[in-house]
Order: sequence, then C-alpha cells, then structure tokens
Amino acid sequence: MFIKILKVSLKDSLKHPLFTVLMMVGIVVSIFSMTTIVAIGEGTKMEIIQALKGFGFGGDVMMVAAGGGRIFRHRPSKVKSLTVADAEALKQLPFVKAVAPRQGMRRYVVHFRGRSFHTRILGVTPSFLTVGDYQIDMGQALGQQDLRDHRKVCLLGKTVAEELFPGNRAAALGQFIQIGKFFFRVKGILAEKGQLGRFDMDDRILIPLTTASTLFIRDTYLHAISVKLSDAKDIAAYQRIVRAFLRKRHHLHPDEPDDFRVVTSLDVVQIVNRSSRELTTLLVRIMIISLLVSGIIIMNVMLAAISERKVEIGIKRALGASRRDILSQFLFEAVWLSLIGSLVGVGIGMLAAYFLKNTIPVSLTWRPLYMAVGFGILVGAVSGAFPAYRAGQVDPIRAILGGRQ
Amino acid sequence: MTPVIFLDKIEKRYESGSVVTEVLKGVSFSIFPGELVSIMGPSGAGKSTLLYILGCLARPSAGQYKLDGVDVGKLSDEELSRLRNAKLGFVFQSFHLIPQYTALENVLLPTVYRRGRKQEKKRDIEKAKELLNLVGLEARYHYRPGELSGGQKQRVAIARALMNDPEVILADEPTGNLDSHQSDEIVRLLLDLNERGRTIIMVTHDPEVGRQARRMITIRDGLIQSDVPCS
Repeated sequence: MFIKILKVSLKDSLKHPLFTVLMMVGIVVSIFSMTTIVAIGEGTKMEIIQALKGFGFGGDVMMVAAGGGRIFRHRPSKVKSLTVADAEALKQLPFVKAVAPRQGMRRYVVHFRGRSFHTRILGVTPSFLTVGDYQIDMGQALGQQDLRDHRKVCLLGKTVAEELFPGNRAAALGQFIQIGKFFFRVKGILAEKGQLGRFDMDDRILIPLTTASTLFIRDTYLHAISVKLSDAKDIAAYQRIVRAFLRKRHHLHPDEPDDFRVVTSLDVVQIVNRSSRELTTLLVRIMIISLLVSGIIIMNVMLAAISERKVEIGIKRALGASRRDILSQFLFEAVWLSLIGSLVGVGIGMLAAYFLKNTIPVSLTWRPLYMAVGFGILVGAVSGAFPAYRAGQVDPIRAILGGRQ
Repeated sequence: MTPVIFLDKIEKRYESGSVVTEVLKGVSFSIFPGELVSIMGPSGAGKSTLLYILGCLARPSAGQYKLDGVDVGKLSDEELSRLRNAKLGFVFQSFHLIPQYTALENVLLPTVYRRGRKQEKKRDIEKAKELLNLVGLEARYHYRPGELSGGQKQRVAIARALMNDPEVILADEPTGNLDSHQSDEIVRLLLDLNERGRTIIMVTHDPEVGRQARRMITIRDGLIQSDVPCS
C-alpha cells in the first residue's frame, strides 16, 4: 500500500509540472545558497589555517609578542618589554630549537629609480628564515656578518621585487634601493609565500635586526620572537612554561598581567574555529529563515494545487482511497519534491562553488549534502502536513458533484 | 437470497447553521444481485444523496444500511474506503476521468487502493485492457480523456467501475452529459453488463433512460413514491 501510494504521488506530481516546479523553487534556492555559503566558509577557514602555517604558524612554532591582552592585534605593540636577551634566554629551554627575534611591522616608502612602493620593513636575524619557513629564490640570505656590522642589506619579498623591478626581478640583485632616507643593497629575493587571507605575505622587506634598531626603531626592544620548538607534542605545556619563564625574567608580580603574549598554532586554530563557529551560527539563522520561506512556499503552492485537484481527490475517494491514503499521497509529494528540490539546490550550489574555486577559496565537502537531505525531508514533512491534512478532509461528494449541488 | 443492498428507514439531514434540510425522510428497500434498478425523481428529490449513501461516500443521519451483509454505519473511514474499493463501482455524470491519465491508467486507478490482495501489475494491466476492449475502446488505451468523445469517456469510466469486480455499479446520471446517440450506446452497454450478471443502480431524471431498467424506484420529497418493475 505504502509503495503504491508513493508511486501514485510521484506519478501525479509529474503530471502537474507547474505546481511541481513552483513547489521546488524555494527550497532549491535556499539549499543552493546554503551550499555555496558552507563551501565558501569552509574554504576560507581551510585557507586561513593553511596560510597561518606559511606564516610560520606550523604546529611546531610559537610566537612571543610584546604587550599583553588580545592575541591578535592590528598594529605591533609599543610596549618595550621584549628584548634580544629574552630571545637568547629562551634558547636555554630544552624544547626550543631556534628563536627568531624581530622588530617592526611598519610601512615605509621604498624607491628605486623613480619607482616607489609602500611596504613593510622587518628587522630580523638569520634564524628568521628557518623559523618562519622562508626560502631564498635568488641571491643570498642574511648572514651573521650583516647583523654584527649593522649592514644596510635587504631581502625583498616577491611583491616588492616585482613592483620595483617589473619584468625582471633578478635585476634587483646588487642594486641599491632607498628605504626611508637610507640606501640598502639588495642581497636576495625571497621565494613566494602567497596570501594570508587578503594579507600579502610577499609584500615585505627583511633587513638585519641591528640595522633596523639603529636606523628605524632607534631602540632595541623587540616586537616579537618566533620560537621554533623541537616537537609539536605538548604545545599547551610548552606555552605555559614559556609564559612562566618570561614572567620570571620580567620580574612580574603575581598580580600584574603579562606584558607579552605567547601565541601558538592552537590559539590560531581556536580563533579560526571561533570565527567559523560565528559564521555557522549566522548561517544557521539565515538557513532557518530561508527554509521557513521555502516551507511557506511549499505550503501555499500545495494548498493551491489541492484546491485545483479537488475533483481528482473526490474521484480517488470514490474509487476507494481513504482519507489517510489521500493525506499520505500529498505528504509524500511534499517530502519528495522538497527532497529533490534540495538535492537540485546542492547540485547547483556545488557547481557554483566549483566554478568559484579560482576566484575565492571554497571547500567542497559532503556536509551540505547531508544537510540538504535532512532539511529537504524536514521542510517537506512540516510544510506538507497541513495541506495534506486538508486534502484528506476534502468532501468527496462535493468535489464530485462540483457546482451541481 | 440475501439482498446485496438493504436499506431500512434511511434518513439524511443537512444542517447549516440553524437551517436543517431533510433530504431523505425514511427510505427502505432491498436490491438483489443481478438487478438493474433505476432511481428516478425530479431534481432535489434526494436521489443523488441516496446514491452517495449507497456508495458509502455519505453516512445516513438515521437508519440502517447493509452492503453485501455488512452494516455500513459502524465502519471507520478506512473500512468504508476498503468497502467502496472492493464492492462498488462508480459511474458519474461528468465522467470524472483524471485528465492527466491515459484511458488505461484511469481504468487501473482502483487497483491502487485495493487492499489485501497481492500486487499483480501485469494481470491488472491485462484485465484493464480486456475491460477497455469490452466497452469498445480497444484502440484507445493510451488516449487521454481530452482526446476522447463524451461517450468514449463514459465507456472508460464504466471500464474503471468494473476493474475491481464490484458487487454493485452505481451510476449517477450516466447519460446526463451525452447526446441521444451516445446516450443510447451507454444504456445499451449497461444493459449488456446487467445481462452478464452485474447489479446496476442508476440515478436518472430521464424517463427514456429510466424505463430501460428492470425496476424503477421513484423518489419524491425524500420518500419513495413508487417502486415498480418495468416491462
């Protein structure tokens, strides 16, 4: 019986294509947008995590930044709490493999023969390249000599090299570029790192830390120390140890807050997860609204369809359909149309995500499919219930006699 | 012989607000297997109401109705529907075929709601074709109602009424929407089916048609005015 009614429901809705299409429109659109949003959301999250790894936030790197408070800030802190001595001292910890102190994330205008470009200048030590996972594309890396002699040499990020030496980055090697008031010899060019979200990781110039201290910052305080760990096994414990170690070094009273932050990849992932959770919450709200709308559409179109198909209902009742048979037929119809509609929506959404792949980060997962199947059935059942009940209640005699009585 | 239809003091009232309309005021009769009965009477006499009570689509307000020995008054909607499906075949004035279905699909419709028996799709299709052959539509299996004449539609409807081998065929003004030529053909078909042993009850206000039956029950103002055999 169940199968027969299901078959009739399929057959009948195919014989009323207009209503069928109208019923599906809402759910197609809302599931389509859900799929795309989920794909973009997941994609963005994945990209951020990926990019953070490139940024030097692999599992085995932590960053000690000057100033307490929130983990991520827009500008480097002006707090003068972190020193080169801190960096050197951190090396004594058994799980610390290397440290990379750095200064300044400030923008300067750089010039080369009439071309100029606004970029970030970082004062770093040679270990910065290994800790931050930088590769040299052309030329040489910074050496201890450069640091010791406060040499005015620099490594260009790919973006900077391309801006100042369009068409021929290699030409930059050995040239003198002007940073602020000073001329720096280009010693090497960094290999491409890519984007961190909208943040260009290649838009930077690295100079020796000591040079930065004397020429630009005019102080020896550090803005951050990247710490490469021997392993990524117990990051949380390492984080606690580093924190205690630095508090002691800075002679902080137990009541005083930290004057530095220890950021690990875990914190980063946590932040990314938190923001993606926020996105999900928002998404869920939008989903509920749009599914509500699709439900209302289904309900209204079905009510219209039922009043159109009253005679048909009357005939079927006369031929032996019970109220429950009629109710089941229309409920099935709502559920399967809604299900098909949401599958179509997922299909279009995935297709859209696939074509967007080159413009924005997307991630195609199975999750939208499960959600679509679930929501499809749910919306169909909920919004079809009332119309189906109404269909079951159609008075067969009145329907059959039509206007005759 | 037990009657296939047994009516005892059937009453039917319609209430709308404070207005109570008494349509049937105590109708009693029995119909035996193999009979061809016409129910006649002026419009508004209550003959259609009577037919739909006989068809288990309406419940009487009072009185007892036994269909094939079963007291219909005590049945649930589900049971009534099962009874309609198994024991009754309907033929309507406006044919009431489902316009989106082909002739064959229309004839097969009662099998969808048939309970208990095993699904025998092939046999059902064979039978539906035989029935369409019987009513003279062997070349029209896959025509939709829109492509058929009124007489042909009514033949499809009759084939559909026969699909589940009902005990009784109920026809409500079966010739009401047909011209005299087509009307004659349908009446002949019904007579022919009766010859083959089918019990047929038909409501009509056309005396020409009504006289063709073996027995004529005339209803007036909700009561039986006459119940006479026809020559």
